[in-house]
Order: sequence, then C-alpha cells, then structure tokens
Amino acid sequence: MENRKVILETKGLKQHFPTGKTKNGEKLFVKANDGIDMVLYEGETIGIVGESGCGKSTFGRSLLKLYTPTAGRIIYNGKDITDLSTKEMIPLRQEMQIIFQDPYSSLNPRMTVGNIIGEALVEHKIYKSGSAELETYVKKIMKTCGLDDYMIYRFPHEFSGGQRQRIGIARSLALKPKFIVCDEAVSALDVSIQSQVINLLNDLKKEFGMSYLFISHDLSVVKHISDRIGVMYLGNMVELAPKKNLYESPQHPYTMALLSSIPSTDLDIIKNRKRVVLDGDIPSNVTPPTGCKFHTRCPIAKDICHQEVPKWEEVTEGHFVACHFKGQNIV
Amino acid sequence: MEANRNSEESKNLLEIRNLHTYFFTNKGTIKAVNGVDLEIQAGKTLGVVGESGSGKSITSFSILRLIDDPGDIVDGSIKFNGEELLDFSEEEMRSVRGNEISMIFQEPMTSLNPVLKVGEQLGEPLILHQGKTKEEAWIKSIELLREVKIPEPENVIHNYPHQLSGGMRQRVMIAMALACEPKLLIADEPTTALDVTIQAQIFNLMNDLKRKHNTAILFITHDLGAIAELADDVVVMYTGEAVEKAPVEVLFSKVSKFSHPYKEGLLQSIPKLDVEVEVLDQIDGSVPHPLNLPKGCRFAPRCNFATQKCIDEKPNLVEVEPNHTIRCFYPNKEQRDGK
Repeated sequence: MENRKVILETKGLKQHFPTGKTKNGEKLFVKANDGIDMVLYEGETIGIVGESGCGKSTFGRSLLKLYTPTAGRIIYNGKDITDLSTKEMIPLRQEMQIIFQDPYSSLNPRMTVGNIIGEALVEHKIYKSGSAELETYVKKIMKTCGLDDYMIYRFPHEFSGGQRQRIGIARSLALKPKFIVCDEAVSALDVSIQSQVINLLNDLKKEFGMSYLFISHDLSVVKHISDRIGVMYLGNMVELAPKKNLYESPQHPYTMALLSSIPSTDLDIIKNRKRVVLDGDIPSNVTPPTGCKFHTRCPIAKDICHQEVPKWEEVTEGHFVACHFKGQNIV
Repeated sequence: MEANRNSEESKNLLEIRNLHTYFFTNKGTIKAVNGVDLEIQAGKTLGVVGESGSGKSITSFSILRLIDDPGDIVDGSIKFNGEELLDFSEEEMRSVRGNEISMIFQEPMTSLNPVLKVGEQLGEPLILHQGKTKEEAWIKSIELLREVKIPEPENVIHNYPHQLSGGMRQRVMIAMALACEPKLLIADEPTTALDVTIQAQIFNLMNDLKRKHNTAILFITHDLGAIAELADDVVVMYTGEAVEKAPVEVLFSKVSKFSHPYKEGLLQSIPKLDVEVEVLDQIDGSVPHPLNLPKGCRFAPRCNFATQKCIDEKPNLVEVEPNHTIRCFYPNKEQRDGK
C-alpha cells in the first residue's frame, strides 16, 4: 500500500464559514469541516458517506480549493496547494475536476453541448476555438461517455437527465484530469440510468487511471464503486477503511447504524436484520456537542464521550476510527 | 358468483379501474396514466414503484382529483369506500381531501406554508373538517406532534417550518395528514429527500400508525428497497401502465419463476450490499418520450428479450400465477433466458 503514489493528501483540514454573532458579540462559525486527515492514492476511489450537513460536499470542494481553507494543509501530487492564489490554481484545474449533482442546473442552458465540453479546452489553450481539431476531440469524448456525436450542436434542454449527467462527465473528462470529485453524481438519476453512469465512471477509471473522491449518501452505490470508504459526521471523519472492512466489521456506532438503515430488496435480510434506528436529528455544526460529537445520538455513549474528543486511530491496517468504545456492538 | 365478487370487492377501501389521465398539450396528448387498475384494503400498504414519468404521481393526484388544466381524467372509475369519487362535486371533494384521504408530499419544505406556525397549519384541517375551535385544535395539534415523536411538542408548535430540520418537517407533514384520522393516506416519495437514518425513523413511524389506526397507505416511490421494507402489495409502473402486480413476498421472491424484464432489470441494476460484482447490470436506453411511445410493448426497445412480436403487438396484464399479474409475452424467467 505504501509503495503506491499519493495523489492527494489532507492534514487537519478545517473549513469554517462565518455566520453572524452571538448577543455578546462573539463571532459564530459553521464548522463544516473540522480537522480531516485523508490520503488518496493514484487510481483509487474513496467514497465519502454521511447525512446531509455532515460536510461531505464542503470537503470535496475544499480539496479543489473552491474555498480557502481555515486551517490544515492540502497536498496535491507532492505539492502543497493550500496557499496558492486563484491564478496559481488555474493550471492545476486541468488535472482536478468536479462532477456536480444536479445535471439540470450545472449546464449553461444557452451553450451548445459542444461549447460546454469544449470551453475549458479553449480556456487552457489546448485547442483553438472553432477549430476542426477541437470538434473532432469533443466528438471523441462524447462517444467515450456514451453520447452520439451528432448531438454536438444541441442545447442541454434537449437531453434527458441521464444524458445531461453524461455531458457533465464529458466536460470534466475533456481535460484528462488525474483527480475528479463526484459530488452526488448519480443521486438525481433514475435507477436504470444510475447503473449506466456508474458503469461509465468505472470504465473511464480503468481506461485513464484516474482517482475519484465519490461523495454520496447512498451506501449501496458507494460500496460498489469505492476502494476505501470514509464516514463523516458533523464535520469530522469518524471512520475510514477499505470497503470490505467497513461493511463486514464496522467499528464506529454511527457506521453500524448507517449500515443497518439501508433499505434492502432481499426479504430474508429485512426479516433477520436487527435495525438500529438512531433517535433525533444531526445537531447544529455551529455549536456542536462537546467531546465526541456523536454522543447525543449514540446508543452506547458513556460519560467520557461527553468530555473527551476521541482520537483518530488505526485499528487494523488502513482502518481508522475515532471512538472511545470502538467495535462495541450496539444492537 | 356475481354476489361473491361483490363481497370480494367491497373489502377494498380504494378501487381504481381502468383509470386514464391525459394531458392535452400543444404538441399532442400525453397519456400520463393509461388504464391503471389498483385496489387497497384497510390497514394495508400498496406500494407503487416506477421511474420518473411512469405516471405514479399522476395516479395519486387523480385519486384526490387534483388534476389541473391541460390535464383531465378522461376515463375510468375511482371508488373510495364504495362511492365513486369521479362523480363528486368540487365541494364534496373538498370534504374528502385532508379528511378521509390525505397526502404526504415529497418536499416537506415546499409543501408547508412558510408564514404559518406549525400549530396554525396543523390545526387547519381540524377546524375545517371537524368544526373544532382554535383552542381545541391547538391542544389536539400538540397531541399529534407527540404521536409522530417530535421532541418537546409544546415548543415546536410555536415554530415556523424554516426552524425545523427536514426530518422534523416531514413529521409535521405526517401529523397534518393524520389530523383527521384519514382512512387512506397517500405518501408520495415521503422519504426521498431524507437521509437513511431519518428515513428509517419515518418508516417505523408509518408502520406504527398503520397498525394503530388501521389506515390504508398508498406508498409511491422509485426506490425498490423502500417498497420491500414497507409495502404489502406492489404495482410496478412503466410509461403510465402497470407492468407487474403482486404481493411483496411474491414480487421479491427468489423462487418465483415469473417476472417482468423491466422489474428484473431494475432489481439487478441496484448495487447489493451482500454481493460483489465487477460490472452492474444495466437497462440500456431511457424511458421513451410520452409523445413518442413504442407501438408494441412499451419496454421492447430497452428489453434484452424483445422479439418481433413485442415490437408489433401490445401485451396485456395476464395472471401468471395466483395473485401475480405481468404485462409481458414472456413472463417465465427460465424460458426467457433459454431463448
């Protein structure tokens, strides 16, 4: 594992957003990411799961430096990019791309598909605007992503949701990136279309050797596509493990609860499953609970969980978890 | 024989026969619901599953007669408690909506009134349908909130929707739908916008309520997993038609020989937690445009097993084994695979 090339690394990454003041004039912050350590190897897919508001999308965007991190470091391909200016980031943008969740709002309705996919290529001066080479290349990328090349002059509204998502993927791929953040890239799609796009993403990974950070709330999809999976709760990573370990021997009570809530189509599984239903909602990340942030909903929380923040520890090789009572059964 | 069937039918709380809901647009007639039959008994959950554009939501809107221009219910019958809803006047319908039949919508944020306090909107159906005073409605509202397991209902009742989380809002919606103890609850994608942990809470809640009040639930979703968790009977829809109908244990049975290729494809294209596969099975293509439907079997262009017959002729819903109907010329899995 250590011999593999690290493509991206974060060290104690924090992303806080200012949000007004208290009555005493004290500044308040939404602690969207609150100290995340992660290493992504070349050709690897890390899945990030967690409930809405846990900071998984913020994490993905911070990695691309779409925000300025509050603290911590981001190292891309051996280079510390934390303090790079927007201008200095531009050449790197070619290698780091994002696919957005909503294929309806992330494509400019007044641009043709050809222009949408080709825009960045022109911007990065790879091809000249309007050149025949550009058109040939865009058509080639469209084919790779399962879009017929005669559609190049069409506008986004002429496409179905699945096709639009392919346009979004083609746009990211056109630059031959090394690293792509897929932010809920298949969540808005129907089941039959979702599997087409997942297969496409996997094929492309094999062909071009890219690394993905695959953000999703759907644990079945994440399991299928990822090599390792990180579970986030309220701005922190609480567990990170190779997928086999995570699904077979989850260590954190939150992971266990998440896994037991996944709907299944197998009636035997439904009948025999002991479901852990967590009470309550995810707390506010402006004033998160003290100690372990999960203690307010945790079925096995003890006094120590209210006071001390659990350490981020490696339990078996590559399996990290932050919990005072890791591995304890919660059923 | 005739009498026998009547007594059989009278057990159904809701009975839809041959429902056709069309939308008359400039570009042509969209047949959103095209001859759907369904029935629900008291205390049972009927799951309706399908992708976008399958007509599942329009079916539920048709039951409450919430179809606006350019749409119209052009044919069929919707019998609720033995009465024909399609013959009701608009005024009579209003006494049914929110009273005997109520509905939970997908988007809890957009379906609650942002300028009314939780208590005010919860009380509205009670004042309207049950003639309660404001004070009585307020007290009953607190009780309802407690029933859907909202913590500190005395405080929450003074809140506005934006002060609540998505899960809490959906509970308020459910409390509102239950206010008049409806006989039928229509839940249109009630958990699609929610996280899995919150979804599990809502499923538990809906099951509890069904047991306690013997409410019938029409549960509409695109998620086969949710159907397996919650439904007693299932209808699979595709392009405005039912393509498969069966009790849940038959539909998801591993031993049944029969299934519709569309449902089979849907099941195979969901990643499973317990099975590891390299490549997911996929249904190629996409749902046909409603103005340009195939003339034979609607699923034929995407079906791996389609023959010339499927392209030319339209199959009917046929009972392939007791309680299991399928709209396909080749419903037998083994024979299909051998072909």
